[in-house]
Amino acid sequence: MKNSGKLGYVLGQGIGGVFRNGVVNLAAVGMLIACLVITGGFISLVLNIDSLIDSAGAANEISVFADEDLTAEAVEELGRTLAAMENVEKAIFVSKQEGLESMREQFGDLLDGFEKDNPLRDKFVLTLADQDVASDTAESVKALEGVAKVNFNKDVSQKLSRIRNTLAASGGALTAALCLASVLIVGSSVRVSAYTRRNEIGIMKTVGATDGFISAPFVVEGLFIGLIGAGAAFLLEWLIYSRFLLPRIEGLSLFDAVAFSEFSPYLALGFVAVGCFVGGLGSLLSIKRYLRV
Amino acid sequence: MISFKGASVRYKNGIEALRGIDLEISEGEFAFIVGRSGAGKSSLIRLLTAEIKPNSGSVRVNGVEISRLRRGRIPHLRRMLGVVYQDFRLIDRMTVFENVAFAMRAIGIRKRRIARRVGYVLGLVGLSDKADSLPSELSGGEQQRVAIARALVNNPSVIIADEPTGNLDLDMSHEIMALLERINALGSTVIVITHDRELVERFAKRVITLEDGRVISDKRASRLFIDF
Repeated sequence: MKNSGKLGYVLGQGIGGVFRNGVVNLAAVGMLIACLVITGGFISLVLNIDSLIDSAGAANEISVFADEDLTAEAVEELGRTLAAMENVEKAIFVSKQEGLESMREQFGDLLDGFEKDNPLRDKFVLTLADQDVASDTAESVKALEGVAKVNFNKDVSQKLSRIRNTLAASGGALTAALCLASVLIVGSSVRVSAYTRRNEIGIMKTVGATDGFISAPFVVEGLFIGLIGAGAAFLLEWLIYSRFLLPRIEGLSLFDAVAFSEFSPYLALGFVAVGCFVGGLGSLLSIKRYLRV
Repeated sequence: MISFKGASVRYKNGIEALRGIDLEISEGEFAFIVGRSGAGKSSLIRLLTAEIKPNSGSVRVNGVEISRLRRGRIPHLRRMLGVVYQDFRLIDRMTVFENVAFAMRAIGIRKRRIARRVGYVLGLVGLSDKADSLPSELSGGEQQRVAIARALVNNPSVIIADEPTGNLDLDMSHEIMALLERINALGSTVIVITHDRELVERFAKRVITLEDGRVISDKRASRLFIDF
């Protein structure tokens, strides 16, 4: 038998095994789907939190309000001082008139009549180079002469980062545990397959088949279980995320939700890799005991 | 050629299955190995097929030293041996042809060669007309002939038959022994392990008697009465 003939035999027996033990293999595929969908769920969650962190990073600016009695020259001088400060990337001036216009865009007629007696102050919006030391920068700005007030959303992105990291770590741990369970279940399923064919395995050993040739169909069976699980999990993930989760996240209008297409190629590759790893490893571990003759 | 030199086997449970066996079986020879249960017959076969290794001494099959055989080389040793069991060990869902062909597929032989060789071997054991039958449709003797065909199909130099007539009536037993004699005449070494005293007496061959893990007699006689 040439290599193509051997390959045909191995593939035929392996794929045949997937269907011969349909019910048992279905349970293994189901477990693998659950493992991959949960993993994918965590990944999409973490990616969306990353996007939220980016949005929050933009909002994580410092607004510096100038004293009402500062002259135009003093305000200009304050702007130069702020721009020259450490950790300040840029300082954008927003006059009190511009501030009022911006608010009128949000609140409309409610602010009619304030043009003559504008209660707002001139302000500077500072974009920071390093968000981690934002609190220190805010304190330094407060101490400057001519500064009436400093508005600063404390550590929003830092908190989000912490949530993201916790989610990623717990997702990783859960995924590892589920993968281990999947390896065991795929292993059990292939073990059933090997048990039903123990007579054939015994004959193969007797007539001088190599362990590799005997194991190969079972490994193929495990790999197919992995591939079927990966494919089904990907479809389910797409369905849950695109049809159910994404419209709801977008409905919140809090940040730009991550489209499924942005991470689906990596997800597909990851699912196939994990599926094949789990299937292959499960098979190899379970067939081993039948080769000890 | 097969040779045992001071070969001993002690299992993990402490049982000494073989104690210093010295034995030679030449190429093309026909030998019976007889003895009571627990005499060490099965351990002898397990040594030949490298299922176990001797704790001491040496076992050589066609120049291959079993005690030094690496795991990866065991399949190549087994291709020199054809083993026939008492319970036939046929695969129920496969036809006679497929059962015999399976032994060739298992070692990666091409389909075209399989068809030619299986046809020839089935003719040799007189089962050409049963090629498409399932094992369940055959008599015990026919099933054992399928098992012999499977053992023969990869052209091994040694045929080991472990109680080949244990599940058969007298006529069928004689039929199987006659077949093994024919195979021996074609050049294969044949070793038959049996309890069947009548069979050993009827077929005048070399008889090696084991008792308590030792060879207690080794007779190349024509007609003899064996005490086991």
